[in-house]
Amino acid sequence: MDNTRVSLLVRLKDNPRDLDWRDFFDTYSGVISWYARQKGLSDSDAQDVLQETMVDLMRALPGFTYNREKGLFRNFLLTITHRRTMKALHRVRRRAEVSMDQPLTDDGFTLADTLPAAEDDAVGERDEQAWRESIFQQAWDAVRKDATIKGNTLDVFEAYVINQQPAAEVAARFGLKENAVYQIRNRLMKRLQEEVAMLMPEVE
Amino acid sequence: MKDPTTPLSEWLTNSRTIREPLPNHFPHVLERLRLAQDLVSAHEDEADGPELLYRRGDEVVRVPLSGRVVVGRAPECQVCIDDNGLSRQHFELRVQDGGPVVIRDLKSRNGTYVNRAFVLTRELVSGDVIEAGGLYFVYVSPG
Repeated sequence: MDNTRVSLLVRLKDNPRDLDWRDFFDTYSGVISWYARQKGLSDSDAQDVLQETMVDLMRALPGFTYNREKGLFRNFLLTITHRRTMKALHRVRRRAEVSMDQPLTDDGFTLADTLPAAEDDAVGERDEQAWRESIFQQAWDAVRKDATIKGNTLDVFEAYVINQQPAAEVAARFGLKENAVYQIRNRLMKRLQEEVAMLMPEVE
Repeated sequence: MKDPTTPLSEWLTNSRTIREPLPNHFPHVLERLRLAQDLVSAHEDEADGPELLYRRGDEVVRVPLSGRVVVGRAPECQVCIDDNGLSRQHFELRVQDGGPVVIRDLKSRNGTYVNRAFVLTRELVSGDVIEAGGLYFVYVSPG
C-alpha cells in the first residue's frame, strides 16, 4: 500500500481526528459516489450512499486489521460501498413501488419498472469492474480539475487519446509539433496512473 | 509498443464511460459527518439494529430503535430529555421490520430539522443529523 494511505488508515484507527476524516473523505468520496452512480442511483441517492458508507467506515476502521486474512483495503472499502449501494437501490425501488405503482401504459408498465434492479449483496466480477471504472473516473476528474495543467493540454489529450484523432491532425489543429502531442499524452497518462495508484492502495 | 496501462487506456478511449464531473455535494455530506463523527466514534461495536445517538454530558447515549420511539421532555417519552428547547413530545421515530425508519415532527414548538432542513416527516438514512431544540441526534443503522 502507498505509505501515505497506510499512514492515514493507521491514524484513523488509532486516533480518528477530524482532520484525518477530512483527508479520507477527500480521497475516497468521489470513488464511492461514482460507484453508486455506476449502479444507476441518482446524484441525491449517491450522496446518501456516500454518507452511509462513511459512517460504516467510522465504526469499522478501528477494528480493521491490516493483514492478508482480513483482505485488502480496497476490497474492504468496495464491500462496504457495494452493500450500501444495494440497500439504496432497494430503498429507491420500495419508494417507487409505494408512490408510483400506477400503470403508466395500458400494458401495466409502471415507473418502478424503469428503475435499476437491486443486485446481490455479494461483490461479483461486474462490481469489481464498476469499482475500477469509478476509480478511473475519479482519477480523470482529479486531473481535469488540476489547475497546474495549463492551456490546451487537456483538449489535446482528449482529442488524441479519448477521441482517437490522428496525432498529425491534433498537432495541426492546436499549432503544435506532433512530438508535443505524444509528450502531452505521456505526461497526462503518468499523472493519471499516479492518481489511480493513490486510489488503489494495496496492503502488503 | 503495448501500453502498460492498458485498462486505463481502454477506459479512456471508451468515451461512453467518460462523464461530466459529479455535482459537488461533498461539503454538505462532510458537514454532517463532522457532527456525526463525535457520536459515532464513541462506540466501536455495531448494533444489530437502528439506533439514535445523542450526547448527555460526557456520555454518548445509544437508544436502540424499534416500534415507535418518542423524543421529548415529557416523562412518558421513550427518550425523555430535560431540555427547555424540546417540546413535551417533540418528534417520533417509527421503525418497520426490515423497512424504513421514518421521523415525524409532533407539532413541536421549535421544529425538527434533519441535515439542517426543516421536516414534518421523512425517511432517514444512516448518518442523518437530527436537530431538535438545540440538541443534536444522529441516526445510524447497520450496513
